[in-house]
Amino acid sequence: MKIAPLTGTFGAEATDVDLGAELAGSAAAGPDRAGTAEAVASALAEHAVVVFRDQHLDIDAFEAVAQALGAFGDTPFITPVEGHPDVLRVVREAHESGPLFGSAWHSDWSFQAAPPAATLLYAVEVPPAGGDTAFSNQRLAYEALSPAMAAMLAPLRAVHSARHSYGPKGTFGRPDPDSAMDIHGDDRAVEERAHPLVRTHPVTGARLLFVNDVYTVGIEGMTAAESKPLLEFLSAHARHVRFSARVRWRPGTLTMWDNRVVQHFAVDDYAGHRREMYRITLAGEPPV
Amino acid sequence: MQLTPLTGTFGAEATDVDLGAGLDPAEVEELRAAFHANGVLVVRDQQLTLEQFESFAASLGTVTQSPFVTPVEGHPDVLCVKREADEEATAFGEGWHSDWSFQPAPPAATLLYAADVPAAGGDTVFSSMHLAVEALSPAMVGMLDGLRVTHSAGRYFAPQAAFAAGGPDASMEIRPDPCALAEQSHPMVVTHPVTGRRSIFANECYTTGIEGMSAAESQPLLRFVYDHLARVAFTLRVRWRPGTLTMWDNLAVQHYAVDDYAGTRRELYRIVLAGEPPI
Repeated sequence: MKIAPLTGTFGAEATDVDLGAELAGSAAAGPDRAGTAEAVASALAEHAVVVFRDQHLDIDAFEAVAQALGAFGDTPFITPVEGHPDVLRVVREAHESGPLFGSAWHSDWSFQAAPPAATLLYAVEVPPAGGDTAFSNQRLAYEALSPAMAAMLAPLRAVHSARHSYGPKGTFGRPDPDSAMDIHGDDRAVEERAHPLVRTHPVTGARLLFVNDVYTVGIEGMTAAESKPLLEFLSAHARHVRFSARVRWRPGTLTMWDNRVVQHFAVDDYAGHRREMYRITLAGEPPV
Repeated sequence: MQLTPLTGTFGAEATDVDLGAGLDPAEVEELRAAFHANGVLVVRDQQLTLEQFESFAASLGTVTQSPFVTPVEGHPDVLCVKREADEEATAFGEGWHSDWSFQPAPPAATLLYAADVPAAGGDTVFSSMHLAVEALSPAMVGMLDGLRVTHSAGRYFAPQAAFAAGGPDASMEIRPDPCALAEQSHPMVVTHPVTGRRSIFANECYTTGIEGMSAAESQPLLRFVYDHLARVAFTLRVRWRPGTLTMWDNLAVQHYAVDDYAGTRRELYRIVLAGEPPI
């Protein structure tokens, strides 16, 4: 496996690796499989976003690749692929015009008690241009804060909830008969859960800003008037272009990201074109 | 010339074209049309001498000189945008801006040609000022439409300003000048003279205020405008290779040079084409 950086700060493209053959095929066994899995895990820890081009995976192979790297995470609110309860099909048909899944800055399922450690997204069909995914590195965002601001944020806990997305009045709160994805909010969507606003990466030890526009709804103990200016600052800071990388998809591209380190944004610029991806999240740990 | 879109909204990559060989008038018109339709045009794998670069630029418009930076010797219209591997100077262009927006008639277009770039890093990100205005509510556009903003080069090119401290070792020779403090007023919302599309013409580097307003009044509004313009949905990102020539429409896009290549050398050549006062 060869690794080439995507930017001067984070993100990498991996070539010379066939994940299906090395992690999922019948030949994939023993020390070779463990060696590839370790190389992928270490690339992910180092680069936070790793893009594998020209892969050939069916759903079974995609699951096997994911399982070589970790345990499946929990996936609420969206009906998974039939027979594959841990795989979501992220699809928009050419004729659809509703809100696009993922088109705002977020870290996947940050409202869960133990949000995913990583997400794997595999492109089956993509528009000729458009539908990129942008990433923003929250270690870089944290490290760019002044010492005074970092110290002020350190003891705070941010409140996360799925309510703006999957609550009764949320973006995806009502079933959309026109949507190719079966999204159905339920009572869990209005639950709230506090996580440290600055968390420590369990593998690298890096300090990470952990708030996002989609799921962060407040700061524990503060009124909305108090938390709003701070969250607005953090929102603008967290997505600043100098912390970002951008991935253009091709069919067969598999992108993995460390969901603790990066936020991401699905750009909605491909109306009239079909886009189909498969997604698996890997189980994480309660943020500390 | 083959054109491939860079995103679903703006920007294109042109291949199968040799700018150094010289374009006939029909090819120039084709390129100009592609440029105006896309706002950003990336032409890969060119091999240009400075003379060929100048001659290509002159085929598209009126080449014009730049203030505050010493040009390439013998080529008064060409700037060398350069940082050596061992340099710690502020990167030129790190911050959202339209080139020279503080001028009475800012450049219509900028051409930037990469001679030496890092293996990774040093990308340029572009934001469409058209998409930004088109995504605003009619009420907000109506409110902004009547405003004028002031622009100035003072923050960067006045004595004691950001680039004035570059030091004698800086590979770009900046000539700080008190005239950088002069303020120039432009409409907040302008109409592109060729395409007729509207743009929000305010940028974080050079805009200093809203005409007639106090700082307390203008600051929240300008903050909103800058954050809105920088939204990722309005952006695209160009990764350079040696021989890449990127040209952008200064009335259609802003840009940002990402400073993530410390320890690596980066050298590009830049020419701007004259524009007209924005209205």
